[in-house]
Amino acid sequence: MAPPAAYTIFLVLSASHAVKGEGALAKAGIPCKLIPVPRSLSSQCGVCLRVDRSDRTRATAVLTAALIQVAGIHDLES
Amino acid sequence: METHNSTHHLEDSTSRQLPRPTVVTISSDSLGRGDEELGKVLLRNYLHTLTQLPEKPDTIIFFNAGVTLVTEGSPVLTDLVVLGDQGVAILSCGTCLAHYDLKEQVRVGMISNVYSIAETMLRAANVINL
Repeated sequence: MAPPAAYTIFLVLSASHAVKGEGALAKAGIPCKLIPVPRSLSSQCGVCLRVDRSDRTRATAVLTAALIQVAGIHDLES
Repeated sequence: METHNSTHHLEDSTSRQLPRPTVVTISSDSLGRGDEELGKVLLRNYLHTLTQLPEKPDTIIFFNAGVTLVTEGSPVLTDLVVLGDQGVAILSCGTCLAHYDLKEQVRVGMISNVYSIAETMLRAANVINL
Protein backbone atom coordinates (compact mmCIF):
# COMPACT_ATOMS: atom_id res chain seq x y z
CA MET A 1 0.00 0.00 0.00
CA ALA A 2 1.32 3.45 -0.91
CA PRO A 3 2.12 5.74 2.03
CA PRO A 4 -0.41 8.54 2.65
CA ALA A 5 0.27 11.75 0.78
CA ALA A 6 1.86 14.44 2.92
CA TYR A 7 0.49 17.93 2.54
CA THR A 8 0.93 21.34 4.02
CA ILE A 9 -2.17 23.45 4.56
CA PHE A 10 -2.01 27.25 4.54
CA LEU A 11 -4.96 28.87 6.29
CA VAL A 12 -5.70 32.30 4.85
CA LEU A 13 -7.90 35.12 6.01
CA SER A 14 -10.37 35.18 3.14
CA ALA A 15 -11.41 33.62 -0.15
CA SER A 16 -9.76 36.54 -1.94
CA HIS A 17 -6.44 35.78 -0.28
CA ALA A 18 -6.83 32.14 -1.24
CA VAL A 19 -7.39 32.99 -4.90
CA LYS A 20 -4.52 35.46 -4.92
CA GLY A 21 -2.27 32.94 -3.18
CA GLU A 22 -3.23 30.22 -5.60
CA GLY A 23 -2.23 32.49 -8.47
CA ALA A 24 1.10 33.33 -6.87
CA LEU A 25 1.90 29.67 -6.25
CA ALA A 26 0.93 28.73 -9.79
CA LYS A 27 3.14 31.49 -11.16
CA ALA A 28 6.00 30.09 -9.09
CA GLY A 29 5.38 26.61 -10.48
CA ILE A 30 4.19 25.16 -7.18
CA PRO A 31 1.24 22.76 -7.56
CA CYS A 32 -1.54 23.86 -5.25
CA LYS A 33 -5.16 23.05 -4.56
CA LEU A 34 -7.69 25.42 -3.11
CA ILE A 35 -9.84 23.40 -0.70
CA PRO A 36 -12.25 23.91 2.21
CA VAL A 37 -10.54 24.08 5.59
CA PRO A 38 -10.45 20.47 6.86
CA ARG A 39 -12.76 19.74 9.77
CA SER A 40 -9.76 18.51 11.73
CA LEU A 41 -8.37 22.05 11.69
CA SER A 42 -11.46 24.16 12.21
CA SER A 43 -15.20 23.85 12.54
CA GLN A 44 -15.64 27.21 10.87
CA CYS A 45 -16.37 27.70 7.17
CA GLY A 46 -13.23 28.69 5.34
CA VAL A 47 -10.94 28.10 2.44
CA CYS A 48 -7.26 27.20 2.42
CA LEU A 49 -4.39 26.30 0.14
CA ARG A 50 -2.95 22.79 0.02
CA VAL A 51 0.52 22.04 -1.33
CA ASP A 52 2.74 18.99 -1.21
CA ARG A 53 4.80 18.87 1.98
CA SER A 54 7.95 19.00 -0.11
CA ASP A 55 6.93 22.48 -1.30
CA ARG A 56 6.25 23.82 2.19
CA THR A 57 9.28 26.10 2.49
CA ARG A 58 9.07 27.43 -1.04
CA ALA A 59 5.34 28.00 -0.81
CA THR A 60 5.73 29.87 2.45
CA ALA A 61 8.24 32.20 0.82
CA VAL A 62 6.04 32.75 -2.23
CA LEU A 63 2.95 33.53 -0.16
CA THR A 64 4.91 35.89 2.08
CA ALA A 65 6.34 37.70 -0.94
CA ALA A 66 2.85 37.99 -2.43
CA LEU A 67 1.61 39.59 0.81
CA ILE A 68 -0.89 36.81 1.44
CA GLN A 69 -2.01 36.92 5.06
CA VAL A 70 -1.48 33.39 6.32
CA ALA A 71 -3.36 32.61 9.53
CA GLY A 72 -1.80 29.22 10.10
CA ILE A 73 0.34 26.49 8.58
CA HIS A 74 -0.43 22.83 9.23
CA ASP A 75 1.12 19.60 8.05
CA LEU A 76 -1.40 16.88 7.28
CA GLU A 77 -1.50 13.46 5.76
CA SER A 78 -4.28 12.50 3.39
CA MET B 1 -29.29 26.19 -2.90
CA GLU B 2 -32.79 24.83 -3.45
CA THR B 3 -33.98 21.38 -2.65
CA HIS B 4 -37.26 19.52 -2.79
CA ASN B 5 -36.80 18.40 0.77
CA SER B 6 -37.29 21.64 2.61
CA THR B 7 -37.15 20.32 6.17
CA HIS B 8 -33.57 20.05 7.26
CA HIS B 9 -32.19 19.83 10.74
CA LEU B 10 -28.63 20.12 11.92
CA GLU B 11 -27.65 16.67 13.04
CA ASP B 12 -24.97 14.09 12.62
CA SER B 13 -24.78 13.62 8.86
CA THR B 14 -23.69 10.01 9.29
CA SER B 15 -27.04 9.15 10.87
CA ARG B 16 -29.03 9.97 7.74
CA GLN B 17 -29.38 8.32 4.39
CA LEU B 18 -29.78 10.36 1.23
CA PRO B 19 -33.06 9.93 -0.63
CA ARG B 20 -32.31 7.86 -3.72
CA PRO B 21 -31.62 8.79 -6.34
CA THR B 22 -30.26 12.22 -5.48
CA VAL B 23 -29.37 14.55 -8.35
CA VAL B 24 -27.35 17.78 -8.15
CA THR B 25 -27.70 20.29 -10.96
CA ILE B 26 -25.11 22.99 -11.62
CA SER B 27 -25.95 25.76 -14.07
CA SER B 28 -23.07 28.13 -13.48
CA ASP B 29 -19.38 28.14 -12.67
CA SER B 30 -20.17 30.21 -9.59
CA LEU B 31 -22.26 29.31 -6.54
CA GLY B 32 -24.93 31.75 -5.40
CA ARG B 33 -25.53 35.38 -6.19
CA GLY B 34 -23.22 38.20 -5.22
CA ASP B 35 -19.46 38.29 -5.58
CA GLU B 36 -18.56 36.11 -8.56
CA GLU B 37 -15.03 35.33 -7.40
CA LEU B 38 -16.36 34.19 -4.04
CA GLY B 39 -19.01 32.13 -5.81
CA LYS B 40 -16.37 30.32 -7.84
CA VAL B 41 -14.42 29.50 -4.69
CA LEU B 42 -17.58 28.25 -3.00
CA LEU B 43 -18.42 25.96 -5.90
CA ARG B 44 -14.90 24.54 -5.90
CA ASN B 45 -15.20 23.98 -2.16
CA TYR B 46 -18.56 22.29 -2.56
CA LEU B 47 -17.40 19.84 -5.22
CA HIS B 48 -14.21 19.01 -3.33
CA THR B 49 -16.25 18.42 -0.19
CA LEU B 50 -18.47 15.95 -2.05
CA THR B 51 -15.36 13.87 -2.75
CA GLN B 52 -14.66 13.72 0.98
CA LEU B 53 -18.11 12.93 2.33
CA PRO B 54 -19.43 9.37 2.65
CA GLU B 55 -22.75 10.37 1.07
CA LYS B 56 -22.68 11.04 -2.65
CA PRO B 57 -25.27 12.21 -5.12
CA ASP B 58 -26.08 9.63 -7.77
CA THR B 59 -25.78 12.14 -10.59
CA ILE B 60 -24.44 15.64 -11.17
CA ILE B 61 -25.87 17.44 -14.19
CA PHE B 62 -24.16 20.47 -15.72
CA PHE B 63 -26.12 23.09 -17.66
CA ASN B 64 -25.43 26.38 -19.37
CA ALA B 65 -22.15 27.94 -18.15
CA GLY B 66 -21.83 25.09 -15.66
CA VAL B 67 -20.57 22.90 -18.52
CA THR B 68 -17.29 24.81 -18.51
CA LEU B 69 -16.50 22.89 -15.32
CA VAL B 70 -16.19 19.55 -17.11
CA THR B 71 -13.79 20.85 -19.73
CA GLU B 72 -10.03 21.20 -20.08
CA GLY B 73 -8.59 23.72 -17.65
CA SER B 74 -11.47 23.52 -15.20
CA PRO B 75 -10.35 24.08 -11.60
CA VAL B 76 -12.63 21.24 -10.44
CA LEU B 77 -11.66 18.66 -13.05
CA THR B 78 -9.68 16.47 -10.65
CA ASP B 79 -12.53 16.50 -8.12
CA LEU B 80 -15.05 15.56 -10.81
CA VAL B 81 -12.82 12.70 -11.94
CA VAL B 82 -12.66 11.50 -8.33
CA LEU B 83 -16.45 11.72 -8.02
CA GLY B 84 -16.80 9.74 -11.23
CA ASP B 85 -14.48 7.09 -9.82
CA GLN B 86 -16.60 7.07 -6.67
CA GLY B 87 -19.64 6.15 -8.73
CA VAL B 88 -21.26 9.53 -9.35
CA ALA B 89 -22.59 9.94 -12.89
CA ILE B 90 -21.43 13.20 -14.46
CA LEU B 91 -23.74 14.43 -17.22
CA SER B 92 -23.31 17.55 -19.32
CA CYS B 93 -25.84 19.24 -21.54
CA GLY B 94 -24.79 18.73 -25.16
CA THR B 95 -26.67 21.80 -26.39
CA CYS B 96 -24.82 23.92 -23.85
CA LEU B 97 -21.42 22.47 -24.80
CA ALA B 98 -22.17 23.18 -28.45
CA HIS B 99 -23.27 26.71 -27.63
CA TYR B 100 -19.96 27.42 -25.90
CA ASP B 101 -18.04 25.42 -28.54
CA LEU B 102 -16.63 23.14 -25.86
CA LYS B 103 -17.64 19.66 -27.03
CA GLU B 104 -14.08 18.76 -27.94
CA GLN B 105 -12.81 19.99 -24.58
CA VAL B 106 -14.87 17.69 -22.35
CA ARG B 107 -12.59 15.75 -20.01
CA VAL B 108 -14.94 14.05 -17.58
CA GLY B 109 -18.36 12.40 -17.64
CA MET B 110 -20.77 11.97 -20.49
CA ILE B 111 -22.33 14.39 -22.95
CA SER B 112 -26.06 14.00 -22.53
CA ASN B 113 -29.28 15.35 -24.03
CA VAL B 114 -32.46 16.89 -22.72
CA TYR B 115 -34.34 13.57 -22.79
CA SER B 116 -31.87 11.79 -20.55
CA ILE B 117 -31.49 14.84 -18.33
CA ALA B 118 -35.24 15.29 -17.94
CA GLU B 119 -35.73 11.58 -17.22
CA THR B 120 -32.94 11.58 -14.67
CA MET B 121 -34.46 14.54 -12.88
CA LEU B 122 -38.03 13.19 -13.01
CA ARG B 123 -36.95 9.86 -11.56
CA ALA B 124 -34.96 11.48 -8.76
CA ALA B 125 -36.22 11.44 -5.20
CA ASN B 126 -34.19 14.55 -4.46
CA VAL B 127 -33.00 17.27 -6.85
CA ILE B 128 -30.58 19.87 -5.52
CA ASN B 129 -30.23 22.91 -7.76
CA LEU B 130 -27.07 24.91 -7.12
